[in-house]
Amino acid sequence: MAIYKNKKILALFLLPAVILVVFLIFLPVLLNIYYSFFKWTAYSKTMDFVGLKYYQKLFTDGEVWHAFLNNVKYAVVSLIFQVGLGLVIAHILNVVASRRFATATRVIIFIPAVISLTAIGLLWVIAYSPSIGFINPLLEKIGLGAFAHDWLGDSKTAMWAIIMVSQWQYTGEMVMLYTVGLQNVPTEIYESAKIDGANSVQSFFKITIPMIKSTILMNTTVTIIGAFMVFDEVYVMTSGGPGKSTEVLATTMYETGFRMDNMGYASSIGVLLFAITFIFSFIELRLYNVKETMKGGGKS
Amino acid sequence: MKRMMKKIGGLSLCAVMCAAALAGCGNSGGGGSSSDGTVTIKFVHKFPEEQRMAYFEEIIADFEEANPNIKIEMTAYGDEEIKDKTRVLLGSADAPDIFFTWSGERIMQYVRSGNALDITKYLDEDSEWKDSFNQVMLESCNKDGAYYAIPWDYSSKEVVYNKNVFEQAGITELPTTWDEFLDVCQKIKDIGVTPLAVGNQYSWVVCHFMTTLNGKLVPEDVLNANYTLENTEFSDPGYAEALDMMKELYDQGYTNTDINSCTWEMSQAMVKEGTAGMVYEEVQNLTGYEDALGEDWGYFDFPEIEGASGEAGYITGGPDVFMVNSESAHPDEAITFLKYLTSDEVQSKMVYDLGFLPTTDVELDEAQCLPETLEIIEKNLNAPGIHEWLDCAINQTVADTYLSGCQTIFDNQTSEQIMQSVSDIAAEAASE
Repeated sequence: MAIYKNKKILALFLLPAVILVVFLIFLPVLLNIYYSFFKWTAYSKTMDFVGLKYYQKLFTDGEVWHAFLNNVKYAVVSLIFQVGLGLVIAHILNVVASRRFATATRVIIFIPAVISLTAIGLLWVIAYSPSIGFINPLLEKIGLGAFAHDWLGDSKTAMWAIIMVSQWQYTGEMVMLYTVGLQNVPTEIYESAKIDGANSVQSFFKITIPMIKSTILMNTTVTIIGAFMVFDEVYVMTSGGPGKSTEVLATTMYETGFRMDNMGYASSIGVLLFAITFIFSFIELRLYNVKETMKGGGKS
Repeated sequence: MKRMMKKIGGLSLCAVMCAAALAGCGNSGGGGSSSDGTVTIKFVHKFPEEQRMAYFEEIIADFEEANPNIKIEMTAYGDEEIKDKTRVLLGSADAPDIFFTWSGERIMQYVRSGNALDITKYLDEDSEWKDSFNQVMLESCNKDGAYYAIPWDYSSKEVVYNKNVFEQAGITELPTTWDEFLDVCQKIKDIGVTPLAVGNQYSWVVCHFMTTLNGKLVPEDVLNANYTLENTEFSDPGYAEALDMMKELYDQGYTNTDINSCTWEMSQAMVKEGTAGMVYEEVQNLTGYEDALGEDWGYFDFPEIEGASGEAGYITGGPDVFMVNSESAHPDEAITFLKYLTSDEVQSKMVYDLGFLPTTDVELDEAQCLPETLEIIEKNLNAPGIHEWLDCAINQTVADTYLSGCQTIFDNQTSEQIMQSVSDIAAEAASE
């Protein structure tokens, strides 16, 4: 294929994509940093230079760190459920369940991931409601009536209630990603391990995990980044309340910029958010060895 | 790859923020004119509900017929959405000529940024138009002698109750004082019905209670000095007492227990269904109770508090206003449309079709009005004054903290802690 050797033609074909990336991703990121040095509003005609003032504020602002902590909670729980539990479910579907049964199950657990976030948010607002929801009656039915609660209305439980909705929504999707990876693992390995006397727990730790290491790694970083980017779930379900208890970085940024008219400070929160996700993306790129994966048969 | 989409979504949020600013550089301000001399006016409001849109479509069709050279391009956004939408649109090349906002700070933020057209001269030129307004409403659009907005309708609050519930609870007299109100609450609670439905998922709901209670409990001069941040110490005991009174209703079981997660719509539905006795409601929503309950609903004024040092009998509410973009290419045509919106014909149709309260001295045909609405319009004309929505009246950063407190009072903060943080943020905001 001579065409792959012609660097000029390659560059030409890459150009549209490069232009899009530069204008839609790099430029906004750079402009965002630039704007964080100014005091301005979305509709103001002038911008006042304030230097690093908003960064000073950023590091002492309790609300921002409270929001950051909520993102961390989000990330930890998401790792346990989506990366951890998702892997276990995928393994069970792959090894224990019969193939026909597995397909149906996969479809069922994937469904939440294709419903719009707003619809899901509203659905769960109703589900959690102590007056018309089904969560509390369900708890009563199984003898846990003492735990019945105003889940989204209490600052102690609201954040966890939102986090669990995301787990409900995305664990199935993670199972799908793992399943794709697992399908590239030859079944002969499992069979011979079985003959050697390995049980399914052993085959999980000795075969599944090592064989799809790169998928696990990718899912981990995507999950962490997703946990720091979260916005819609919180905005739809509590918009940060009660009080400020469920604010995350993205909602804090939004409130600051569009409700309190402090676009400069919102931009600096945006920079913080960018820095966090950038660090994790960087780690992912370093750990995720592309060449090795290619050799391994093109696993995702 | 929804996760990836989320990642991209987050990035594009940053992108949107930047794009909004970028677009601001190319601000052309509003609609244009075409070669045949037709002028297009971009008009943004917050009444996207079906019935309300139908009203606007009808009046705009009439206007365009009478003014063939003006075309109105209308867009409507919901209550929460319009708060960001207006801000972004004004900074964009797609800026509206006429836009909606609430009163107080919500007007002043656009005056300070230079987005608001000074319409004093149009009012002075047409004294008949100027005099037709309810002067209290018009004055809330006045800043240092200049007018920046036109009040179109206004809202005020009343306690709406379900007559069936009151009858079951054996309540024969409507409460006029706070003690009587507590008594009514107890009677309703005794029959196993929620006395007062409060849908505080969005905290402006309790903030409306605060608007009323602060007005009744805090001396007017102290209140004004605090709301304008002349005095940043919200130390008058009335503020804390107002929060405590709401907290007491909650603690006594006089409200629904899911106060902070219950939606506003759910609280309205509770009264319509009879699972709650009362709701603190805006007058323009009364038609909904008429539709749902027929004869079986009523209203009364928020109870007065004996011996309180604030003002009694004030209206709690505020005008909904329209402002003209200072960069509009067609301010004269925009004003022509605003005059039409505040003409007798359109104002009376607004009362008949929508049950809104007019801001002008329009003569109304009793037969076409909801009797309750008419009664409230009459009563409000004689009110000694108005307490404008607290979250509109005050600096937006301070309002944000106050609104947050309107939820945490039922959760994990005391009224003193909340008012302390309001004072702190007020001092910070005033120094900027």
